Amino acid sequence: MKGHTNNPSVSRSEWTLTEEAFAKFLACLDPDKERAGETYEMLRLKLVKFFDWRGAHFPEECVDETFNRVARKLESGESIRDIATYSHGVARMVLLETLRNPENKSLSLDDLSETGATSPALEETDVRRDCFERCLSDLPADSRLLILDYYKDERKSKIDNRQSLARRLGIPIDALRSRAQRVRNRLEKCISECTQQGL
Amino acid sequence: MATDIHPELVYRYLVSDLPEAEQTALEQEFLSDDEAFERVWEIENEMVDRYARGRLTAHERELFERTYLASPVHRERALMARRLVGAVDSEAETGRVPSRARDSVSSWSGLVASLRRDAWRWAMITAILALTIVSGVLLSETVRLHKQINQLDNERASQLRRTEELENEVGSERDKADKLEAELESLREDSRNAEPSSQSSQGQKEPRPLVSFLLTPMLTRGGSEAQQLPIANGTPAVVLQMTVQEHGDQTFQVEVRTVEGAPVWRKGSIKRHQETKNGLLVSANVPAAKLPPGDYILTLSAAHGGKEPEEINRYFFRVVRQ
Repeated sequence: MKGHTNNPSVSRSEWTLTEEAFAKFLACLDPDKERAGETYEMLRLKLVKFFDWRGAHFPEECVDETFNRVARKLESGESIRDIATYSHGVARMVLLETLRNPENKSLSLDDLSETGATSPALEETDVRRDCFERCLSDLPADSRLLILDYYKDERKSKIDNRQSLARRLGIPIDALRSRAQRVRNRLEKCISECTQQGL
Repeated sequence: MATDIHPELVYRYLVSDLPEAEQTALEQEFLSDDEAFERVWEIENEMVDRYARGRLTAHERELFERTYLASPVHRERALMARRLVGAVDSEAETGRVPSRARDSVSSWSGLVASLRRDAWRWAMITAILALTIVSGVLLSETVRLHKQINQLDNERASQLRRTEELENEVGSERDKADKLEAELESLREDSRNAEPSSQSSQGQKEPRPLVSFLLTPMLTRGGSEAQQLPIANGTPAVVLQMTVQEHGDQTFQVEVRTVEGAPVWRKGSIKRHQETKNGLLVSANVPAAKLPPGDYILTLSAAHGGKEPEEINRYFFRVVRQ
């Protein structure tokens, strides 16, 4: 959670998150600090994906703004019974504000073509290809093997393949899916940062 | 329930094709249910991978590109998916690691990861091998112990046989010793009886003046005259002889009593006898001093094979002095 955002598409509040307010926020999630931390991480991931799926260009910053607003409410003495549901309501407001912002205007591939872009938006670049290979090789070996196995395109035998993989790793199929998605998410973030930095 | 979430619903959500109410309902579900959230995320990845593999229908593809790919975040995701499925499919087709990143999989870390992945299999193999080895050792040890037990049993049986043989030998020797002792005692007694009570005053031995009588059985005082045995004074011993029928190996016993029943002389285990044409001749050397003048009854008994002696005959005689 950040005190403010850098993204101009997100309406920034003037309020700055304090350590005390963040502790209060966590305490609302769970009285146990360790469990509160886990709940926070899960809620954050869900809201990031919420903003992502709804087309926000900077989902992470949208989530920061959402949590800031919730924490501010708590610090003002407001009592929140279900903080997850409350956060969802706040997130919807932040999303609406974000989508109204011209900086968040989405462009389809057709739009991109109409802008006169010289290359299709999904055209692979050398930078992106190198970033992919570097980020994939930077993954721990077991994570790398996991996503290469998990996303095998074996059509009908895909379920069998994943069940077999789960048995080999000694984890339930749901845990395997969760692990594979997080590795994939990590790879995606790495590539995004890599391409922004131009390697 | 996450399994109730239909991929079509999620697909429409991701391409902004759901009414607001259904959108909100789905969002509330995955925000409150972790499994529902994972399921929506999975469907998204599957949809992006289908696009990357060119497996969306024309309509799906048109909608996907117009709505989903309007987000720069999603475009990056689709590009990454294209690289990822390319790498995965290439490996599946060639069976080889296709890129620099995947070459490192075959390095030591890849080997370790592979071993870790197959750890359960190695653990099973190790356990089976260990079990086989332990079973083999136990079987070998059992066979060895069985052999030792059999050997000890044979040795014990052999020792028992040897002990039995020795006991039989000892028993046999003891029987022989007993018989010899009896014969020796008999000879000693005969010798004592035969010794002249009166040696010459000069200490010289004189010939032993024995008298011998062949007794006739079943002579009683009431039936006929008693057989008279005249014994001269100075006679040291009287040899009383009886003829009996032969009945195998027999041991004889002689007992002399007065007619009143008082015991006079007794001798058991008489084996010295000789064969005659009328049967066996049994002899008993009775000290003459034991037979003062008077009437006597001699009872002759015989024993077969160690059994109790049975009476054969009685002899009635009268001793007279000359």
